[in-house]
Amino acid sequence: MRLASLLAPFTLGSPRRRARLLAAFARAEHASMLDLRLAAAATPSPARQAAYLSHALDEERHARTFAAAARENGGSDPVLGDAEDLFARRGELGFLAFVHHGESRGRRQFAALATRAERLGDARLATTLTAIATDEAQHESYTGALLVELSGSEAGARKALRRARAWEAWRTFRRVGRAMAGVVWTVSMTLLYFALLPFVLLVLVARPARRGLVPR
Amino acid sequence: MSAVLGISGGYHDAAAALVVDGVVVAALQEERLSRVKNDPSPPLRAARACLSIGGIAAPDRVVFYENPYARIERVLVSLLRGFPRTFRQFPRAIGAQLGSKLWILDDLAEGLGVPRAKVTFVAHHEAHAASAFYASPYPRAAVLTVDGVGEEAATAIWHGTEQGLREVAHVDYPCSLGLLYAAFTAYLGFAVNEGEYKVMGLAAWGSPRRREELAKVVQLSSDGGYELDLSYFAFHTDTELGFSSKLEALLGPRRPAERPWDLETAEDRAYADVAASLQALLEDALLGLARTARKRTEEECLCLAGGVALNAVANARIAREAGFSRVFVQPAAGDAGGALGAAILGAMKDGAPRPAPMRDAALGVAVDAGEANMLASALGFAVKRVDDRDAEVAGRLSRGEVIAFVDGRCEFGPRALGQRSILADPRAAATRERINRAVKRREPFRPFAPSALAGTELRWYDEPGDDMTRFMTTVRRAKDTTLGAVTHVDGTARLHTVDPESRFGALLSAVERESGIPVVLNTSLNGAGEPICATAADAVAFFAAHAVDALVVEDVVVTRRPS
Amino acid sequence: MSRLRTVAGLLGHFLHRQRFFLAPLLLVLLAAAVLLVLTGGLSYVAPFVYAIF
Ligand SMILES: [Fe+2]
Ligand SMILES: [Fe+2]
Ligand SMILES: [Fe+2]
Repeated sequence: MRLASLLAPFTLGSPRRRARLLAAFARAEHASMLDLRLAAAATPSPARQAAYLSHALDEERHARTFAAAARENGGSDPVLGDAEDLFARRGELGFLAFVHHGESRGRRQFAALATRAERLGDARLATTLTAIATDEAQHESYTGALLVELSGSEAGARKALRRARAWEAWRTFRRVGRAMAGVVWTVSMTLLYFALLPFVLLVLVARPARRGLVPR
Repeated sequence: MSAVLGISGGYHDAAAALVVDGVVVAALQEERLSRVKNDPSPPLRAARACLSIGGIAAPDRVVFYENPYARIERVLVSLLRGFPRTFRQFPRAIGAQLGSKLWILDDLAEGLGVPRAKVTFVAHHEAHAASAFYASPYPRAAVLTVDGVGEEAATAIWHGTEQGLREVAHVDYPCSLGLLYAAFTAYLGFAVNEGEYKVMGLAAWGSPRRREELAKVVQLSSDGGYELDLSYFAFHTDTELGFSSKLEALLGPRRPAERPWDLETAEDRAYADVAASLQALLEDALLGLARTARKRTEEECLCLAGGVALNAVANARIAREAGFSRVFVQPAAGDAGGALGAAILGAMKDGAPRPAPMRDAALGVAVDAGEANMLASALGFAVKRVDDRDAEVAGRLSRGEVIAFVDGRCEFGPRALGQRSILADPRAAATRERINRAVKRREPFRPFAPSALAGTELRWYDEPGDDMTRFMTTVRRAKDTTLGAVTHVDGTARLHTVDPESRFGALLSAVERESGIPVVLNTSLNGAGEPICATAADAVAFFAAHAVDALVVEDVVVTRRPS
Repeated sequence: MSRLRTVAGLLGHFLHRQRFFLAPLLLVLLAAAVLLVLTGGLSYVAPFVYAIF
């Protein structure tokens, strides 16, 4: 929360930054919608299936709202988010813990940004963010209740949450590692590329492009 | 018993198809289950769903629709041919190939629990050709496959006989009609792999007055071949953009993607002219290929597949002018259909007979009406079960309602054919605006299709239905403007003729009793940018998010409570 | 180590008589593969436009 309010002047400062941030939110909401739809398809309980589906509908609406807000700020259509399929990877309890954790963070982030937007004089954005934060609070509370129900106790729920946070930290670490490896790969492959001149000549001689209709 | 699973994926719409003892048991796109539009990832969900539909624990053979080794060769060779302009592409493309795509056969073996030795592949265009020829009702035919690119071929002509499929000729990448179309889709400001239909729809608003200029971009030769002038393109050196600045110099600057379309303005009409000219060029190229196929094979029938065969307007022209008496298009003409072709080829190689002709596309997962009932009730909607579902739907349609309609197993391929459809009365043009506002949010130049009871179509259209109208892969010219909501600006419609004996046919008969005409407006059951619905949960979620009047899942009718 | 089958398939493809000229390209792939292992098996997202590579 503190981070979000500290960053707010930077992220909401110009329409371009605003559009980029809103597009990132749209992507995150869309990704979370996909994960909830997959969870709804996978859970053995009809009651939870309905709960996940209705939750997915909220996130779908959030994604649309953020996408529209991004467009209003001059951004183009945001790229759609990708599912992580946490239900299949972490099990239902792990999935719920992760969602609960994410909802709580989202609620605090949106509430802080709403205050910031208010101060910057963007009442519309503030109202949107507040409404979404209210939804996230509801998501937070029902996933919290389900966590206790599924793990059997408050202590079990807390343990699942700790594990979700640890797993998230590990994921962040891996993502950073992968991004750095990506840079190394791109640089070294570009160097390799320019060493390939002899192979270019080989290909041009051995495999010139065939044009037009080639009979078998 | 022999069960063969065909798989496509890696680049565009991934899919799985299951053939058991020569019978096509199931075929399904991954996007329908993962809910990611055009999902290219290894279609394990779709594969498992196909196996469970067939009651098969493990397939005897898995056949991938493409040769991964030939693909990597083509990628490497074309990167080197493009030296030094391909330097940005090189790390990404080689990383993708070596990092994941090369190992697709291993991934499938592991993901499906099948020994690696039982996972094989066929060639990309051969899979396309098989998906068209072996699904068609013709014992012998010429086959034309046209797409972006497979391993190396971008177009191929085949001869299908009792002995199998034999390649006659092909055109290699980078001369590709699919990539030509994709480059213009990007030039016109649409998303590639998504906006191709929009380009076709937009073409009807323009006139082909730039056809002469486009002759510089693609040269057609008298033997039916074609060549792209690569200086107008960039797809072979740069995946960010399909076309080069030279194309903009020729046709004017590209259209910005964000700007809303307004075909009243001269500017947007000029872009419509570009689309119309491209359409004319594509049709000329396809006609040349089809005529060559006719000459070389001397067959009376033609089968089409590959992404370019989704161009219904071009298909109609081929049927009229290429000299064939009958034409069939695989409804899942894009790469999804490759899964079906691969499964059939694998099964026939193992000694299975040729499958029966494809009668409908309802090859996917069945809907569970009880689940729809439960979920809709849980979300607070009014739910009832009805005895006469068809009469209920017909009554609602005649009152002007727009209905989300779900029945049986979902369609294979991009068209809704009465299993996962949005239905409305086809007459009032205002209906089109309403659906666009509530659901599709799409540009005015995207028409909706009519579904008519087979045998009645001459009341509204110039020509009777054929092997293509059954799957909505061609167009017909309307005689008048009676069916205003389903007639495009140029007077054509993507007619769907429905077998009176089918369940959807029974619905159309009920509609005729109610309204006097056995025709409905039929568009796919999905919101903007979403895959078509598959399950009851998808349908209920669609209904919750879009302002249609009712959701009908078999005999379950869902409506909103008056607030 | 079922992946050996894929490696064998790749070698077989490039050492085929019609493509014998291209066999040196295996060196390029080998160098890239070594780099890939060194940089830890990166996962790539498909490029934006028509995925042809
Ligand atoms: Fe949300
Ligand atoms: Fe939420
Ligand atoms: Fe293809």
